[in-house]
Amino acid sequence: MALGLKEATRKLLDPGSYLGWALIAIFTLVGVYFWAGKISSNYPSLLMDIMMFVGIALSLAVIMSFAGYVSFGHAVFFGLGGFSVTIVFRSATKGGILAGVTSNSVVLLVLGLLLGIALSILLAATVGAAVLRLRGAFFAIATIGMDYVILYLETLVGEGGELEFNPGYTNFLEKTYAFFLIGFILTFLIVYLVRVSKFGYGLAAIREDEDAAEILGVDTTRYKIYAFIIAAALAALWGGLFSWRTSSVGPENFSLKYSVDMIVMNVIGGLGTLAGPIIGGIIYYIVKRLTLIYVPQLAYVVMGVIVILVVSFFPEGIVGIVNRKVKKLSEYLI
Amino acid sequence: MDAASLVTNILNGLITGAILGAVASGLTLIWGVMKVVNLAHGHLAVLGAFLAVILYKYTIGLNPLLAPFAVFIIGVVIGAIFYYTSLHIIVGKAETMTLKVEMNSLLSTFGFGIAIYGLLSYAIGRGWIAQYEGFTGWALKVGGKTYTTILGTNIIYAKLYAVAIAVLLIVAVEMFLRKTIWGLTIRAVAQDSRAVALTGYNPVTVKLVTTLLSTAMALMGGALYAIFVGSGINPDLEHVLAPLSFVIVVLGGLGSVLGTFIGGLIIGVTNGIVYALTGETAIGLATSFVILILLLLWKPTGLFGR
Repeated sequence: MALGLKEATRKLLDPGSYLGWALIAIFTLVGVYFWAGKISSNYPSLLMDIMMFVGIALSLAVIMSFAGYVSFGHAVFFGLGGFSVTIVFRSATKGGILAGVTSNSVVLLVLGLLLGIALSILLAATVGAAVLRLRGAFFAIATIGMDYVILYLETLVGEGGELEFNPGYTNFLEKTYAFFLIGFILTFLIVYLVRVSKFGYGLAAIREDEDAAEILGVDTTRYKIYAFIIAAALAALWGGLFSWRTSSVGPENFSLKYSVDMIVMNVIGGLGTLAGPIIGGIIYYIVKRLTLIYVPQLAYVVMGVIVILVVSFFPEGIVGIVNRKVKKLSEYLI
Repeated sequence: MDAASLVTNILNGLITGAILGAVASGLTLIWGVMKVVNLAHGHLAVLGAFLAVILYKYTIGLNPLLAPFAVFIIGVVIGAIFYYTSLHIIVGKAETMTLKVEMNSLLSTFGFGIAIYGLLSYAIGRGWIAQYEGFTGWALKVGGKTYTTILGTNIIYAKLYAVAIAVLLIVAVEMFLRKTIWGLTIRAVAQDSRAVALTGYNPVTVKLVTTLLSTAMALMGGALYAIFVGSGINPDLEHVLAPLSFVIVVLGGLGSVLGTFIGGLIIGVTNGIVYALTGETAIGLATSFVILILLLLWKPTGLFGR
């Protein structure tokens, strides 16, 4: 199932990866200027937003877009990631179990991210694995249920679930940008390798016809669970980074609105592709940003109308349409 | 916990459950008949609650007791808008619901839902309507008292009225589905839409009628909920009503209106008992979703499903 190292290196230079590398190059370049103190924090902040949006879109893509299982409760992993980072930081303050062990915020962040990823993998491998037996709408509803169970349990902690922490504010934005960049590169590499590996083709087979895939020898159960685990871990990574950036966690982090963001980005971009969530994520972010600037109170209405229009008239999404009209591009927009 | 407070919590649970059953009953219809998992259902119910308040407070001063019926009629119109904007292109012509169609309908209803949410938030943001207000200042009085005492528990008359109308709605819809030719057709489409077409009924029309009925029931359920809670109506109620509706519908069995009502009672009582034991509403809600996941895994057809 896994790619060999040599093969993976070769795949990383395929045309399908150019889009991702181009983005990484831009983000790194802006980062270098930012770290050198040459530009203000406006552009890096904007790019961090985009990195997170594309990042969570890519995380959901592994299960929704590649395998065809629409998880409406994916925010649960995003929330768990944020919750873990918060808990680790809080336990390093006076009276916590990590008090006196270390107060290095970078170490704590990495610990928090790892804890979040571990918890998410645990949840995805147990409850998630059971829920993956369901198909279509039943799966979607069960994941919503999973999200709400954790959300309601989270509200029992702290004041209605609202927790804050002190991430240590020396060079905070510079550090945050570095972590977001590393997170983005990791996310892209993992999702890209899933897409081009045998595993990815197995997932595509599951999406098109699960029974047929099973008959043809795809270990559907195992593939689905692995895909769900990868998707969960990546969502937890971004949830953790997001909480670090906002220095807090709350029931809001588990809110379905993050699931919605992830789903809509994938739908707009085009299902079944790697370029879909990347392009969809960037466009969605721009649209969301513009609506928030010009018609802030109607942001939800705009989003709802876009979803209906896309699903009704362009169910194949931007990448699907572009690839159909311009055949040459389909090599790059895989 | 003593026996008296347990009785109180169970009684309150039954009342809450009856209302939730009424809210969820529209969902079982559209899901059971059209196989459309209507993610806008919760938003539609909240819209119904707001419409009831708007009719009473901001426009014609309609008596809250009549609100559910008025909202039902408005719901038919909104149902038509809902069908033609979000469903017709996707499921109108679809003979069978493939996974792809199902997913698309899920997303489009979802889009309609957040559009409603956005419009309500907009109206609130502009100060056209107020949230957390509901029917504050209004109370149903019988003999100068606003509540009666049943088994040592004080129960507000308005809540009893809402329960009575909820039961009426369930019975009426159940009769409609069993006794009228349209009802029979709707149930037939749920089983075999092609066979219905052969008998001369247009399945597209049946889908439209189902959506109208389901939407009107969702809005009416919301209006009943508004009477039931009295105040505290806000757009985020959706986060309680929608997921609970899913739990109840799955519990009651897809397509069974009566089953949904009983499912509502079960969830209401469960929440009541869990609340009595733990003192936390959140744990009661979490329990409901655990029930949902377990049910989906072990008996997705529910208690009364085929």
